[in-house]
Amino acid sequence: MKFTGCHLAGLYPRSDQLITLMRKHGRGTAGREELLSAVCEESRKIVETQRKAGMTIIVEGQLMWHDHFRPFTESIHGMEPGPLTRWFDNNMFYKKPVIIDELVWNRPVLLDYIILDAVRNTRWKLVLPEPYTFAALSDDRYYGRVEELVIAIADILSKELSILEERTSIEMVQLSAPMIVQRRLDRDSAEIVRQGIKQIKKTFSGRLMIHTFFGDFSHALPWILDLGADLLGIDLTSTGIENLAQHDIDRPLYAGILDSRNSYVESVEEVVRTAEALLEKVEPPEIHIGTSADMDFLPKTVADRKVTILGAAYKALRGE
Amino acid sequence: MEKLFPTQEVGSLLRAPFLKKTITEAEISETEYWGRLLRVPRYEELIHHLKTGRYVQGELYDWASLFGLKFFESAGLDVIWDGEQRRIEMYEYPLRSIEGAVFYGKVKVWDVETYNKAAIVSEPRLLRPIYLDEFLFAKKHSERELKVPVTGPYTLADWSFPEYHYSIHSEVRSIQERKKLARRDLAIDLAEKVIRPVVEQLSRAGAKRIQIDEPAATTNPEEMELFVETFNKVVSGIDAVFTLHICYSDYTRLFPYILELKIDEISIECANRDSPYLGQDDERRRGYPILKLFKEYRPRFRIAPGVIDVHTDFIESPGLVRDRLLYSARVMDDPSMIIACNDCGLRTRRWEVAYKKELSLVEGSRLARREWEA
Repeated sequence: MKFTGCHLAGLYPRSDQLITLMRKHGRGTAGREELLSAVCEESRKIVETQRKAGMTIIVEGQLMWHDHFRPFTESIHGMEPGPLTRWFDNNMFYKKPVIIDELVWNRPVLLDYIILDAVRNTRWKLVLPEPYTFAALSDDRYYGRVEELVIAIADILSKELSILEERTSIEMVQLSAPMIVQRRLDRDSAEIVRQGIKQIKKTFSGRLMIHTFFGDFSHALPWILDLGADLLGIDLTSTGIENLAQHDIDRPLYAGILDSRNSYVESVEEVVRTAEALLEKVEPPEIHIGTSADMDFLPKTVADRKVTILGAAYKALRGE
Repeated sequence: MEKLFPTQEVGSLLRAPFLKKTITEAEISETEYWGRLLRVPRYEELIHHLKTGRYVQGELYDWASLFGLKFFESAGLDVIWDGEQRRIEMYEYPLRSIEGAVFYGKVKVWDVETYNKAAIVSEPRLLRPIYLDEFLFAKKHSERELKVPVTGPYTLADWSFPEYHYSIHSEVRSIQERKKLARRDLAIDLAEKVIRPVVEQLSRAGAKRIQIDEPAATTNPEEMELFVETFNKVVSGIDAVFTLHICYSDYTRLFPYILELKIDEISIECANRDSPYLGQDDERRRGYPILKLFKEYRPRFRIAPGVIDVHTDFIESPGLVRDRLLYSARVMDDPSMIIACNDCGLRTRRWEVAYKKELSLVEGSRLARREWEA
């Protein structure tokens, strides 16, 4: 069987009620306990939605994360959240990390941002920013050399991983790496990507996924195959299968088939057709199927429907 | 000779105090203050209605539009609008008048800021005129030159889900190709079937100046040609002065495509990137280097580099406005190329702050004119 997994790629949209509560919390008219209670409840529902739909690996939803970097920029010494900056080609913005001093890890950060109770006793995937992507999307006013910043970020991520692994078992770690497929990186930059991931692998010995999105995966070929990842994620709304077919890809792939930036809900047949085309033309050893990127580009109701379709398509691919 | 450094606003203004959900004594008092200061005709009638609670919502919008027009007239601007007092905002407002647009819920823009993003689920069609009533009212109540802001088709398409246009290309096997086709078809449809008719209606009603707002224009560099195509489909052959407004964007991406645009003016945001210090050197005017690129391409259209930052309560002095204008004129080597303008709409600022900023805009423009002509 070549189809061996189905899961989502990251942040899940918040409900309108939760957004309203978060605004109240921001204004000081709702307490932290009330907010955490609502986030826990909604995270559990998101996990349940995935479980019911038949996801083989669960994501926690990251409802506490305003963007990919915020837990770190709000908490790690040496960086702070900077100006609002466009998140790739989307009508969505993130606060650019500004590096103002040597990065120093003083205390666990992610325990405040991840609802471990929601994913306890599940096979779950922790989603983190890939160090090179993190560095490239930052305003570095301290290190000066991107390789130094990448290693400093990888160290921080590794420490967080260690803490989380002490508390819970993690089935898989996904490193979200859109910056490595925006264009073809030169050899030096690719080496910096590799060093960052190598640093994380020193700490984490579980299954590692590198997910590329908003760009053409073939930009990172062939060097991405040698990063030591167990699963390579491809955004098939940004990458043509024909382009991939020209390469010898001998790694398990995560096929981001359901478009997380379009409310059009794909049919099971459309998802199956694309997954089978990938298998036929690229012939990877294994395929996981999922969404192209984070789901928080969609209204929550649409995201829920896509999860159901994804589960149904996975069952169809496996003949279940 | 035409007046140098004419002044324009960009569109929006914070909603009038009496459009708040709950009107208390504070809103009535504020309304009275502004009615008197702006010399709004018969504003006492509105105060009476507010005090007695005898008004209908539609009438309040007319009053708000009137206050908006007088706000800019009173500040002394040459080209004005009513501050978009009748609009929710620039995206959802027009989408509500388009057949085929449905709203499934809100999506994130940043943090806990969201917008009601529409899915286009059938061929889009204009259900009713969108900005016509606004224009007819403004025309009746102002002698000043009017500029009607219209959200452009490329931005409406980019900010919407192209469901219908994706579904009609089911024969295309590559998701990537299908997505490209869907985005293109939606943008073209919105240009031809929605915004072009809107602009034609305005032109027929006598609109001489129309501003097409396209903040998403440079979001997808590979779609710059599509952006130009949609823009030109909207404006071609229509007898009006067309301004293109783009803000908070990477303007270098506009080149060289911008030369193909059928525009008379472009309004861009610069003050937000500039220093607050007086002076006409490159360092102090670091918000305006993009003008050098404009100069290189020798455009046929005029440029309105924002000289008022709408994202801060800092009130630019007339001297700062003057220096920004004169610097721009020197870069372009031609003062007649430059229009004095805000970075963007003033909806983010309180009226008190916005009014002071507009007074500075007008006075700074006068200072620049005097210095250039001396």
